[in-house]
Amino acid sequence: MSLFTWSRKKPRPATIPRTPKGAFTVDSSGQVVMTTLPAAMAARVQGPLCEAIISAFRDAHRAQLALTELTFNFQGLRVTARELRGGAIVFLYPIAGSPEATRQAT
Amino acid sequence: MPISPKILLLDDETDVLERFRGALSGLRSRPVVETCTSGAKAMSLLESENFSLLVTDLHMPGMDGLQVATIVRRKFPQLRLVVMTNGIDSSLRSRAYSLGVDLVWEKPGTKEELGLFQSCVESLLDEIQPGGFQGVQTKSLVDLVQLECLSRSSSLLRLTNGDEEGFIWIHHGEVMDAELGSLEGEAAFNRILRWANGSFEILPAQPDRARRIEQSWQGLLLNTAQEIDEMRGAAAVAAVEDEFDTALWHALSSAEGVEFVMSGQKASGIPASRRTAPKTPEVEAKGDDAVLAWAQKTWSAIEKVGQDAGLGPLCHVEGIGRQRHVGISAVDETIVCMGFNRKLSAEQVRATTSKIHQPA
Repeated sequence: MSLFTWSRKKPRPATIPRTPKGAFTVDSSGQVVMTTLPAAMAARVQGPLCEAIISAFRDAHRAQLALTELTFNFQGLRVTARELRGGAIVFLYPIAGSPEATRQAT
Repeated sequence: MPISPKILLLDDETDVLERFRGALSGLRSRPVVETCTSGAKAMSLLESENFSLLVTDLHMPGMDGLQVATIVRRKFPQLRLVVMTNGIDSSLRSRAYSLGVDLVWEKPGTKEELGLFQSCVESLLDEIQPGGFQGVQTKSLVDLVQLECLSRSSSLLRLTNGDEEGFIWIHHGEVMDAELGSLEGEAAFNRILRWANGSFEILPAQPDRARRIEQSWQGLLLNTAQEIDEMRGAAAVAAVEDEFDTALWHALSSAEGVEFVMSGQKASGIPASRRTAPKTPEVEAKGDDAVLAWAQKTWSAIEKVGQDAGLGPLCHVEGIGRQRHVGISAVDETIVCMGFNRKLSAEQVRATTSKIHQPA
């Protein structure tokens, strides 16, 4: 590669992390049973979320809060977890008005 | 021929009045001394005649000495005022000086004490100049020290604020030393000057006092003024935050379907700092510390997951239950946990909970 071609090499566009969108199920032991999330996102998001969600439902039960659904609202993402026989089914979707939701709408 | 000053003596005991009339009549300035036995009578005399000095007893039936002093200071600011009593405690003394009394004196028991009292009264009468201004000083301590230093005075300032008593030694317009309890030097000076109110007394100078403050009075006052400004700024911010908190609290408590509201620190294990009174006895059991502890733990765990996985900041959390719903949000380091009636929809719970969140 000559100096000329090297200097004309176009810079790579900055990568913007995509907001996860999809669903997964988790059993009562915190293991993921099924997921529709892309593999890269699943690795980043699923593991820590599973643990936190199962723990939240369990602790709520101990505090005499019989919760069937928990929704966590992040700035651009909503995570809704529905209790499912000790486990949970978890939906992730961008919140309307967030950059991800706008991009998907267009 | 100079006009003789007029002194009004006020005491409920006539024998005391006669004793002091004799003592004061013999002063070098040959004052005219009149007496009365009640505050009301004293007021009417002061209205009708022009007196230079009022000497009043502190403890009297009906209107006491402090009440008399308060009225006199307001109505006759030019009048010199001496308060006398049997046994003075420091709080009474401070209170009297804060009312603008010129001198607080324990009733003289011996001949020597009477002589000293006569000298003091004489010096007070000597100080009375025709014309000029006189009134109650309501200056800040910074103003007071500045005044003493600018006029290059030498004095000992005795300052009281409630039970606390502090001293500032000034010599030829320089602050030499200060003392407040166990504090001394600059530390004591700074602490004394932070007092928002109190009373002061200028005592004779003590030029032999060792110098423990080396900084110039300008530097001292500048540092203190800066600290006071910072304190006021912090207090103002706290007041605004509190006002916001209170307004939010009332809005949430009165929102439709809200059964309870609790707030506490984000860290789990710290009990609720504030909670609404339960609206029904049934609610009391629901809004207990276990619920807040759950809210604290869940919020912390999910917030951490959001940070680690790059999901952005957590805004609010809603829980839908068979018996009740809950909402969690946070304002700075405070977690707010709300309980909702189960008849409310998830959207209604979300709408109310989202009101708490303040975007950064």
